[in-house]
Parts: sequence; C-alpha cells; structure tokens
Amino acid sequence: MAVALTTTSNLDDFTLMQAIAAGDQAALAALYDRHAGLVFTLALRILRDRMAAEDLVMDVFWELWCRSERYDAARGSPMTYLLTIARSRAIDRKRSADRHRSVRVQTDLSTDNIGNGPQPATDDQSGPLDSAIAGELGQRIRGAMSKLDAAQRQAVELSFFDDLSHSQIAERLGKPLGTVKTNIRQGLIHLRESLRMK
Amino acid sequence: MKDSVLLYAAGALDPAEADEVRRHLAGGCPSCAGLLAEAEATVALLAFSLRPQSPSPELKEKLMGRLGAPASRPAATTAAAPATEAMPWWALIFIPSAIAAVVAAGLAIVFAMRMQAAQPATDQTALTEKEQTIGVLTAKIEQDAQELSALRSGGIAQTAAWAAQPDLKFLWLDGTAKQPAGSGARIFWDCKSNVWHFFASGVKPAAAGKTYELWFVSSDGKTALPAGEFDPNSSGDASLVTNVPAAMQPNQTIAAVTDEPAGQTITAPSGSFQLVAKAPAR
Repeated sequence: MAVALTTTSNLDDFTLMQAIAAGDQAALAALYDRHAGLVFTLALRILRDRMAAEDLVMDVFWELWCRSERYDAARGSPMTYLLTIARSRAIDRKRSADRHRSVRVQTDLSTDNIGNGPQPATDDQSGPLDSAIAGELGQRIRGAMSKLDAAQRQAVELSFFDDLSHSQIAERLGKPLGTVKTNIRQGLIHLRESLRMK
Repeated sequence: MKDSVLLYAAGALDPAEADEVRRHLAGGCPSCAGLLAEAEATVALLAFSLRPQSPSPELKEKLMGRLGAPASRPAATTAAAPATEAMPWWALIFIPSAIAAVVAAGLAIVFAMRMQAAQPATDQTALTEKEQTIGVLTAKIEQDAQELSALRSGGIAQTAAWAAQPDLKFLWLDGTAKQPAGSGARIFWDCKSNVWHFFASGVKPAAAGKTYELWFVSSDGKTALPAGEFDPNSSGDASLVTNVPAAMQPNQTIAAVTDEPAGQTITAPSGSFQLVAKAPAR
C-alpha cells in the first residue's frame, strides 16, 4: 500500500482524476493531500467557521468521488474545478446562514487573512515538490494581487469572497456602478496578465 | 458579453445578468466558453492569496472511512447497500430535489412551448428568446436526469422506497404573477412523522429587506400558521424542513409563500403571495 501511495502521489492531477473516475481511492487520497488545504482555506474565508469549512471540504471531495464523470478536462485543471465547486457551495451555505442577520463586509484588506488560531500541524502526505510548487504559486499570486490598484483588488475580493454583486459593491462603497464594474474587470485582466508573465 | 463573462466568473453579476450569461453559454458560444474557462482559472487562484489554513487530520480519515470498501463506491454494477444501512441525510434532500427539479424543468418546457405556439409567426425576436429558454431548460433536464441516475445507481433505493410509502402526500405550489414563469414548489408531507419537506425552484431573490415565508393554510383560508423562512440560492432553488402543527390535516391544508420583512417575527401573512397551492395535499 505504501508503494502504491508513493506511486500515486507522483502522478499529475489529470491522471489522478482519471484514476478517481476508475474508482481508485488512493488517487482520491493523493488529490486530497494536495488540494484539501487550499479548498479549506477558501471555504474558511467565505464561511468564517472552521466546522462549516470542514463540512464543505468533505462535501467537495465526496462529490468529486461520486460524480467524477462531471469533470471536463477541457474546461480547466482539477484544482480549478475543485475551487470552483468549493466557492459555489460555500456561497450557497453562506447565503443560507445569513438569512437572519445583516452582514458587515470587512473592507479592510488586512483582516482578510483569517487568524483562527495557530495553524494546526497535519500529517501532510503531499511531497516536498507539491509544497514547493504551491508555495511558489502562492507567492506569485500574492505578488500579482499586490500590483493591482487597491480599488481593483478590493472589488475583486468583495465579489469573489463575499458574494457581492457589482451593484451591491457599488452601494456598499458608495461608488458608481460603472466604476465598480471596471475595477473588477480590470483587476481580473491585470491578474491574468501578471500570472502569464514569467 | 465578454465583459459580462469576466464578471460572471468572479461572481459579480446580478442574478438576472448571470442568467443571461448562462443562456448565452448554453447556446454554445466557443469564444465565451474559452474566456470563461480562463477567467475561472484566474479567479480560482485568488484562494492562494489567503494565508494557508489546514483542516483537522481527522477530516481525511472521515472521508476515507466514508469511502469504505472499494465495492461501496457508487456504481451501477455494485450490489445494493445493506438494508440496515441508514439512508444518508442528504439523500432525503438530493433525490426529491433532483426529482422535483426534473419535473419543474419539464413543466417549464411545456409552458415555454405553449407560449411559443401562441406567438404570432412574425414575432421572430420573441420566438428566438423562447427557443433559447427551451435550450437552457433542456440542458438542465439532461443534467438533472444524469444526477438522478447517478444517485439512484449509488444504491440509494431506500429513498425511492421512502418516496413511494403510503404515508407520503404531496402539495404543489405554483408561482403567482409576482414570480418568474415556471417558478413553483412542491411539498412532500411525511404524514408518519408529520414533517413537511419543501422544495422550491425558479424563485427570484426576495426584494431588499425582505425574505420569503412559507405558511400552513387551512383549506377555508381562515387559518395561516408560519412554517419557516427561506431565501433561494443563485439558481432560484430553496428547501426547508419543518414540523407540521397537529391542527393541520392533509386533506384540509394548503400552503402558500409570501414575502415578509426580514428579521422580524411574523405571525400572520402581511406581504404579497408568491407561491400558492390551490388544492390540499393528496
């Protein structure tokens, strides 16, 4: 089993998805080791509750296991697929939970990195290469985000993490609708261009 | 449209605008589909901008434990789950919701086709829009049918047995003129445990400062008791599970949904009717 896990953990995400579709539990475990942390981080940012975020991670990977045929490699990488599902599910849960209370959106970007206590130690099974790649990508993303105009970064984060439409952002920030739309659009375009550059 | 696709990927569109983009994509525009894929990949990476957090180690154990033996993975050729295995809690929601979604989409298609047939042949623009609506609904039916098939092949026969039990009655609610065409809801009344399982679809978001309230209503219209609040998700779907008061009997009870002020205790309907059942449960 240990040998099989090692072999599986060296496969790329697309191959792991194929293996999962074929019923390979070790492949699911390997994909979980690689991306569960990121899925959990995203869920926690949106839901701001560890238990709810863990439930969401479970749901996302369980859905992946049960409905692996729904993944279309032509539409994007498995990581994108996982994060897209995770965001969609998290937004739905957030809306359900927010029914009876008003939500104050934190516009202070410095508070967006949730500090729910020290990061727990985990028996991370992902290899050192996976961690290095994730670390490097994270640095690139953070670097790209830091280059965005503050208004663009704020608009993108409010829409993606806080489920606000452009009209809701405009109302919340007291800005013209057209300005907010432009900020979101230009923010995404600049982010995409920054990530394309080596 | 390309700008809208970018905003759609970021989740920044209003519901009506998002529906327009979905209809456009369902029409098979390859350039917009490619733009969406790239935009989704870009926004998904926003998660990397957050300080990394980790779930508890027990979560992985729980996931792998849920997978169980290899033969337990949902597949058409596997044996049915043991009779003593408890039905997953979510199956009570997913299966009826999937069934309801397929039925609702089918009813919406019939409605759209009737509307199309009633249009003058010269009204080409309206016909084109109706054809696009039919295309979107057809795609949704196929998707829901696939989901239903996957759920059934996963050995969740207990859910079918639950749906067929004689203690289960049904209430159908239609959308009023306040709601989009095709909106509606259905209630599975489990008379054995006296619980309503409510599923709505195609419901537009409540107005600002308002929420939707489901009501137990006596057939003579004289009594209305609050059953619970709900807000539809981005797809217009909502679900609710609520205990039924002893005074409400299946053959003497209908249901209704009104829009009410959010964050307040409501004891009697004060808003406008959004969904209404015209016949008692049967």
